[in-house]
Amino acid sequence: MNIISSSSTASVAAQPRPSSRTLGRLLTAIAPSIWVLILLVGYCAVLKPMLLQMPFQMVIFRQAAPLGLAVCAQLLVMRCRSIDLSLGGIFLLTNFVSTTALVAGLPPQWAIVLPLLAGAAVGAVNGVFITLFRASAVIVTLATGAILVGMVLYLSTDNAPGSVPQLIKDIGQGRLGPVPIAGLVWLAVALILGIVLRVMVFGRLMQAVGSNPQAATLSGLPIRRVLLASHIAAGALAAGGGLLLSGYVGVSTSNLGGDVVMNSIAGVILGGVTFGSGRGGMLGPTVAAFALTLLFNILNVFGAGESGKLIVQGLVIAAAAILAGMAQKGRR
Amino acid sequence: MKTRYAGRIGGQYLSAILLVIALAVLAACFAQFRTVENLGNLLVQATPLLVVALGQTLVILTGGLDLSVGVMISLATGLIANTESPVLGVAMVLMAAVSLGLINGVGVARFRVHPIIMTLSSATVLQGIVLIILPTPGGAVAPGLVTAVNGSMGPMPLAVLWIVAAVLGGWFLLHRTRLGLHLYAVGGAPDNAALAGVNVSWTIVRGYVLCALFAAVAGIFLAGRISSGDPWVGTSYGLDSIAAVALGGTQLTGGIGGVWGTLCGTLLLGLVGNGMNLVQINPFLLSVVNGALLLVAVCLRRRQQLGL
Repeated sequence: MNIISSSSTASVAAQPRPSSRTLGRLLTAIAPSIWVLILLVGYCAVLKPMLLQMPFQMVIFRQAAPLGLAVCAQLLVMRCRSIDLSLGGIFLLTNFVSTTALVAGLPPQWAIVLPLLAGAAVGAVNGVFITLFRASAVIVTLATGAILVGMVLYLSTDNAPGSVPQLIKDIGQGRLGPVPIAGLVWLAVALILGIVLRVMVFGRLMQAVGSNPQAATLSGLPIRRVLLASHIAAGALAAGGGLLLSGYVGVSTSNLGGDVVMNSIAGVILGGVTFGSGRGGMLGPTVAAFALTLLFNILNVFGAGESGKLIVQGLVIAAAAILAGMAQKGRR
Repeated sequence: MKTRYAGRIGGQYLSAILLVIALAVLAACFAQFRTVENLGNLLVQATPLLVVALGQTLVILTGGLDLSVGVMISLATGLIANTESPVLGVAMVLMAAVSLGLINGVGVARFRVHPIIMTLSSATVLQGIVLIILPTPGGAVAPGLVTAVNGSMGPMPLAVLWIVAAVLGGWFLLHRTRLGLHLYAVGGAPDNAALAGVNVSWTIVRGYVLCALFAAVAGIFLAGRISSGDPWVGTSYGLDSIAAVALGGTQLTGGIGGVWGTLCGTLLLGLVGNGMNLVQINPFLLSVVNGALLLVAVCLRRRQQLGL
């Protein structure tokens, strides 16, 4: 913990004036998550080298994939100064949709398409309430999350637990050689998203909307459409995460995605992104999802239990967020 | 001046109207609803949520949000149920609340961490600490506290006294003290408040401390009600309290709203739960209805800001 704060504060203190852009970009490119990962790997190398072996790393890679997609989802909306607290509900929803009779009679690819569409639909509802009715994103996504969880629990009370279609199981559990397919899916999505955010017009618009909504409105940018689109994309991405997790679990369950909202926000913060900041690419958040998963595993190995896990998790997020806040202050 | 005051009241009257409608519908449709016991139960059930929501109102008026109140409640029940002397227990709870509020407030005001993230992370740490203090539900609560919560004077449950004290306390704080005025000012326009000589950071910090203290009182009440401690009992109160405040017409951007709206919002949530209980609907649907109610409530009043 000490190492993170001292080294990152040093980088904050050395924050250049906006004129020397390349150096600034270099410094902000190093997200807190990378420091956390370096620290964790160092810790393992000294105390439990076994944890760094390939098979175990691949297990963590697979475990991190659903969270990784949830982080991508949260990242999109947080960069637009919004938030999605309904991700957990979407995880439950995808598990429900992919295990019910809804997809049983259809060709196997529908088992993937239908949940993704459902997630996008939830994102669209969120987005419409937020952009059209100008309602607070916190309240709207809180409400849709509660509605989703209640609906799924209600609808699945009388149903016998179903099984996840084989195709999704293959994606969630399968491997290509030593590499888990779920992890590859996650990396592919993160890569595409990184390119979209960096190169394409949509990414630029998002950056403009997030960094200064007033200026974006005055410049005539389609601020509402950008916000709506990012919420829809976030819904679909979260559904993808839900599918990967359902594929791994293999059956329908109501015990899915309870901590995904918290962990996705943690991942985004650790990834060096805060509300409205368009800085940094996808590297930080992607590393953050992996680092968080590695952290939970290390805590499990050392028998820290639920309480130790929660304390460390909270402290890490708080430290990352405080550092980000101090960096922002230094920039002003 | 008159118009400005009306603006500060916000959509509170709307929630009062909704509350009256819900009351009328339930009273007209169900004979069981009109019984004294049912109304008493309703009030006792709504008390902890009301107390937390009042604290939440103070923070939301400053433009913040406190997601750590739920864990503060759990901590309060844990501490009360785990200490021999009730006085010591209460003192420890209040001290814990002040520290939690200070941490949240300093994080938000001084380090400019977004309130959602600050309180979420402090809540996570605190939940871990609660689990160390009290891994599983249990412990014993002083009989005096149990009576003070569950007892009744004639037909009136003692919980009514808690409600009156909490609402009057919150009202006095907001409308009869300098701090209250500053809370509104900071939430409405922080820069203007700073120019007018209000210490913005310190006002925000005090808002979070008061919010944590309200949550602590709610936790003490709940400990008496379940007469034991439970490390997870408060979990739902974090989001429910925000729902109650939002239903009460208080704006999440800050500066608009108040105590009476929160009272109406809490009672409305309680009534909906009570009504669904009377019709014997699946309890899982309750969260669906609450969520839908919340969506309707946020659409009743437009605001300028887009997003958070």
